[in-house]
Amino acid sequence: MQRGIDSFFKRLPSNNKKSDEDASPAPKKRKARVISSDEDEIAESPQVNKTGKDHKKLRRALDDTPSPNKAPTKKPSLSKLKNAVPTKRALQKVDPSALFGGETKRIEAQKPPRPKDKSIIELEDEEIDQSLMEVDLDESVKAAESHQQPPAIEISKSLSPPPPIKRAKRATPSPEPPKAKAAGRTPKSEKPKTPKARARASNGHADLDTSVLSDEERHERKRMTAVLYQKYKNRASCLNPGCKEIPKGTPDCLKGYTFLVTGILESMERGEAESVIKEYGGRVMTVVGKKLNYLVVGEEAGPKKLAQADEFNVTVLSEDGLFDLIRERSGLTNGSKNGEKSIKKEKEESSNKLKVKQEKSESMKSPRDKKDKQKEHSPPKAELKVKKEKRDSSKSPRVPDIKEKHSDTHISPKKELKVEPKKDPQRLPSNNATNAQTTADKLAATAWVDKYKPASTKEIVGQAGAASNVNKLLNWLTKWYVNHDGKKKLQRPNPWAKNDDGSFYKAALLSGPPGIGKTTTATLVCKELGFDTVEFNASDTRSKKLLKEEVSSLLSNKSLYGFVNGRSQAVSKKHVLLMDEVDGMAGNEDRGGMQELIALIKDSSVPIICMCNDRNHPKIRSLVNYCYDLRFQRPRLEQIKGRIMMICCREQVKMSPAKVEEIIAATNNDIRQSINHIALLSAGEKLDLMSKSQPTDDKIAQKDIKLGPWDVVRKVFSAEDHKHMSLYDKCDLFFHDYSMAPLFVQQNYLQVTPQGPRKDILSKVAATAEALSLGDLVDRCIRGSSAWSLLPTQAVFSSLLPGEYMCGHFTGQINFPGWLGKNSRSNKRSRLAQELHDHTRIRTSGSRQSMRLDYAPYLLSNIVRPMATYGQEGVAAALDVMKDYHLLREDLDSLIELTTWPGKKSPMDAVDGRVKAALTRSYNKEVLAYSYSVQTNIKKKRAEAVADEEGMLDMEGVDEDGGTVGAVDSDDEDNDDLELDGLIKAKKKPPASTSKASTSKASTSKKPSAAASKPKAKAKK
Amino acid sequence: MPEECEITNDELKKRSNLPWIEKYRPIKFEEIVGNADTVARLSIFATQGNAPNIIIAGPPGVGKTTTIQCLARILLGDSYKEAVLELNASNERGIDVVRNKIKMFAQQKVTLPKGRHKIVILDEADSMTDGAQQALRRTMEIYSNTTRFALACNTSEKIIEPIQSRCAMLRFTKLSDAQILAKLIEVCQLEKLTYDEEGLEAIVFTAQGDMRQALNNLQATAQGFGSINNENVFKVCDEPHPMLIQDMLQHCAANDIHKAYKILAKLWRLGYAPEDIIGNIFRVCKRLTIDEQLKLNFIKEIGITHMKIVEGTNSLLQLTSLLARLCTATEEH
Repeated sequence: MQRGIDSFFKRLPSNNKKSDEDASPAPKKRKARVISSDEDEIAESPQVNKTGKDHKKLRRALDDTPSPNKAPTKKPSLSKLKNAVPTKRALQKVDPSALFGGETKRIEAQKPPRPKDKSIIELEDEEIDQSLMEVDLDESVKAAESHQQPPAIEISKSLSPPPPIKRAKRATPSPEPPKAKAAGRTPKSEKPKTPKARARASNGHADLDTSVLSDEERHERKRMTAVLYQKYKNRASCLNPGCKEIPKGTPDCLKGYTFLVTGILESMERGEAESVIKEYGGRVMTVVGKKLNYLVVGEEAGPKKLAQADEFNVTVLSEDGLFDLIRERSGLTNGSKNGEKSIKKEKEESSNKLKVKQEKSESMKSPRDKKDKQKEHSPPKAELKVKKEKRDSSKSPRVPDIKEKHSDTHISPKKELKVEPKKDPQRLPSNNATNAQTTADKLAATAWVDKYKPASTKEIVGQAGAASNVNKLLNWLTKWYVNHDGKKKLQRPNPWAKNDDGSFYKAALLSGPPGIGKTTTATLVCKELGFDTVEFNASDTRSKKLLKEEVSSLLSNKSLYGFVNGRSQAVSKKHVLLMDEVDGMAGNEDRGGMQELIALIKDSSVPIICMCNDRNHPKIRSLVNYCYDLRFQRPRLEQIKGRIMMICCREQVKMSPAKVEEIIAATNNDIRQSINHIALLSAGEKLDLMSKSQPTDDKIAQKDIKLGPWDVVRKVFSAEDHKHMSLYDKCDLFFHDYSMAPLFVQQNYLQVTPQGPRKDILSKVAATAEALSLGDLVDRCIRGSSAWSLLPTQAVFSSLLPGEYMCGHFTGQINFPGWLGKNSRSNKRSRLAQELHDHTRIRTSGSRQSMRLDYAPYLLSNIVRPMATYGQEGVAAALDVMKDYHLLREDLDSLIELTTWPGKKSPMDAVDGRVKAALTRSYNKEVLAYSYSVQTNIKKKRAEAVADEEGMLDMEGVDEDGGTVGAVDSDDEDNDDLELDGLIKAKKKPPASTSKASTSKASTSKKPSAAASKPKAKAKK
Repeated sequence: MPEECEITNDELKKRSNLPWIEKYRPIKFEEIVGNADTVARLSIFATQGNAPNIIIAGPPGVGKTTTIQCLARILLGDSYKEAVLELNASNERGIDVVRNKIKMFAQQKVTLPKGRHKIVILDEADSMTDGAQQALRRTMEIYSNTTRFALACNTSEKIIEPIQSRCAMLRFTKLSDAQILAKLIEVCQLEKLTYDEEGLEAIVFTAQGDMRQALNNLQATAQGFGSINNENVFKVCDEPHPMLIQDMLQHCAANDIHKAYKILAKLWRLGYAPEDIIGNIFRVCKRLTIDEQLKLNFIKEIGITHMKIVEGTNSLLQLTSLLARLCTATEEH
């Protein structure tokens, strides 16, 4: 669909030679974008005349008043339109053509009323259409263009440095231009979705050229605008941002000229282009008119504008043409290749049409042609480039060759005559020669990864969309100081909210796999917004202390960076704290770093950007809650491919697209590693090793990732994977995690449906089970006697054999091994049993096992039964049993847990809640703390901390009072004193218990029992 | 890949008291045996400079470290000493070393010709902890203008993904027997040893594609017995001969227990430890060319016996029963 529109724009160089590949992902993507397009526009619309457009639209709707569609048309918002569609349909019974989306229907619905008032509104209509078109064009500049085809761009660049100016009118079209255009163009056959659409398209074009419109034509045009409208919603941003260098012209070199930018330019956003023009004194118009001098055309330019440009004899420029113009006017270039490749408009309609035809036929050429062409063209260019390097005043090392391209093209005498250098070219050589030299040196020494590092956010692969992470981050950062000036109280957003702009958060967390540009994004965004960054990465120690000291002081500093570098006079106060690789905070050195970071975030006065790979990592999890979550996805293969091909082209590495794809796939869509590989392979290129090493290459490129147990177990059983795995490979699977793998296999082997007849399944399962059991024996042998030489044997039994027997495919879900949970539960239960055993040791004989098997059920029923039958009255009896056995209140719970069978009700359920509470209360009141109940009473102790002194004083009296048992008593006293000293220091426990004892003594009549239990407790000690 | 060794006698003398593995360590790319493509590619980088960060992965003894050192030496020449930081598993390479030593080194200024960079060689990088590797990440990037990294490891999975992402991965494969043999002959000639084909073949066989092992065995045999022949070699690198075991298993697969037992008895008489024997049986069996299903059964039986032997019942009877069970398995098959 996107490409389908191209057929309207006959004159446009489209750089997408791979539209067939694009076509498939396009629809899906489009949908997503359509939904979000509304906000996007609002968020970052560079358009000047957006409101105007709305206005005009409204007017147009008013013109069409008789129709009942007024309401829907009024609103430019897509979503609203969508809502409106059904009603319209009901009214109009429009054939729901599948060709265009819901938006199209809207226009179709408008059709019927149109003819009626056609004559009246004809004139206005023209105008309206025009404005509509403008709207299309305006918006067309942005939106994501994801399929970059730098090689193609390279061609068009190399082929078309179009020197502009009215000369174009004079010049007869050389035979080359159409070819060039074709080279950069999508084959037409792929563009329209259906033949019908194509027919329509050509119709539409005819419309524009002829002034007499029939009804049908008008409808067609309507439809076309609809298509365009829909298209601009999906409009890509510039194809290859920053791929060309904007020439440095003299100020005012464009003075007196008026420009209009339309379509998607190759290297600049439209707004950018306009600002460039303005910078050089040019005037930017929004409507094609008589005064317009130049129409700067990008891809997918509005047909209306083109047509009008025709009418008004406006010179049409490509982006390169614009640059050339700047150079020319400012006398920078001594000429660049002329007419050849520029996109020109002829006065004569006839020649125009002819050309169109030519183009059409040319554009049918297969992409292969283009590629060939590319190959033909690039090498000589490259050679020239080297020679001419010195001439270039290439400021940014990234894009040295664009300029070169222009300068190395031969000088046309015609041009020489025409152009009068306004500036002396002397300033070029001296200064720039050295400059270029150093940059060249630098370039030679930088790794490709750095060399081709994006220099602006627009160049980041896969981040061009309006809803991309780059834009989100940009937004977030721009608004940060506004949002966090302390005046606003921000609401924590709903975690499921779709379009949260993160204003609540003080920090952002960029997460995603390595090599896709997280750090680049962060640094570039900061750079573009003029923030100074303070970076901490995994190579810095980031312990709690250090973070506290260094970072917090750093953040309150002012940066002199701008001042020192002479960029700005002002001392910047805008910092960003970049915490790179937060998942790398590990080990002793970084202890407490994460907590400190969170604390920093909480009361930070600057934005913090954190980066990590795996946001589900336990280390990161706590951080996630405080951060604006931006997840980076791996870019798609095509996106990376474009960039890689560009690099290949620049580096003059010949590499087949298939090969590039292979490498990218092998690196798992990791841009950085792909570049690294290309760099490595490039050396082979020069040796002409390529053919020889072909088979080994894919292996070289492959990235090794340690498989998780889930993947391992899937591979173990999957028949497909087995096909190309040797015995060794299968055994290696086991070693990915040899402690977990056997468990996973054991847990999941029954989920597999093995190949082969059904009746064999049982025997296969049996064989597997046997192997697993043997594997367990081996495992025990390994762990028991640390006979690690048996590990390969275990691999055979626990992984290889089951895999072989049950080879098939998974039908169920892969589960986490239940054994681990069961194991820990059994550990817990045995611990509980041991505790019970310990606590009741004085009253019971027998082992832990007998405690669990013989005592526990009866003990529990003795405690629970009285409460269940007598309610409140039974509490005392229950308590007596507990006291007899020296049980803690908690022991009751463990008793219940131990004795309750799965699926059965706990006996405690029969007891009323109030009774339980009463038991707890009276237990706390009556039963003294045992030596082993220390921890449980700490809390209470704290509550009585104030009363400590009194308690201690009391105690002595109490002990004496209660000391009816002479000998024991004196013993007690000693003990108490000792206990006091020891325990006050240690746990501060006994005062509490003793004071409690004293209170209980005073208040209740249970004195004897309390006294009795106390010595017992001590005795136990 | 036999090449001429241009080591003169003087040099030989100088290096005479080095172990052979050091003495004959290649200094130039041309001398490196095996993995020709990869090495050739690196040699280009060696001449033109600006090599990306690399990881070389491969089994031991195939020349990973040597390759990297060659690269560093050629790239840096005389300034090798100042401009190369070499750390292997014997050095401490904890997170703090990465943060301090490596980072400091990366920050140092060393005057080098253009296109040349300081090189940090991290041998046996797979033994670095995750934390240390994490700490390496950004250092690799930030100082890439001045410092490049070369990592060598046995298993590339143990290198964390972010590091892999920053490097170009080169995989070294085991050397072929012919390659090792050629090198051995060369060394024998240089050392003026008496050798016969069989002896060298035996060494090659025991080395299993590991050049280092081959050279060590050669030196051990040469210094112990003087001449390199089959017997002497197996006296030095003593393990139950895989060929014998292979024969034995083939006999079992043919259901011929008598012949199989003869071999076993012979091995036993030679005094090999049952654990060695069973270990070798296991290894040989895995690459035995017999029916896949039968092989699995074999492996299973061998595994059971292996376990028993490890548990302590390491008698001849156990091994014999293994043979019997293998034959039964063949019969059932």
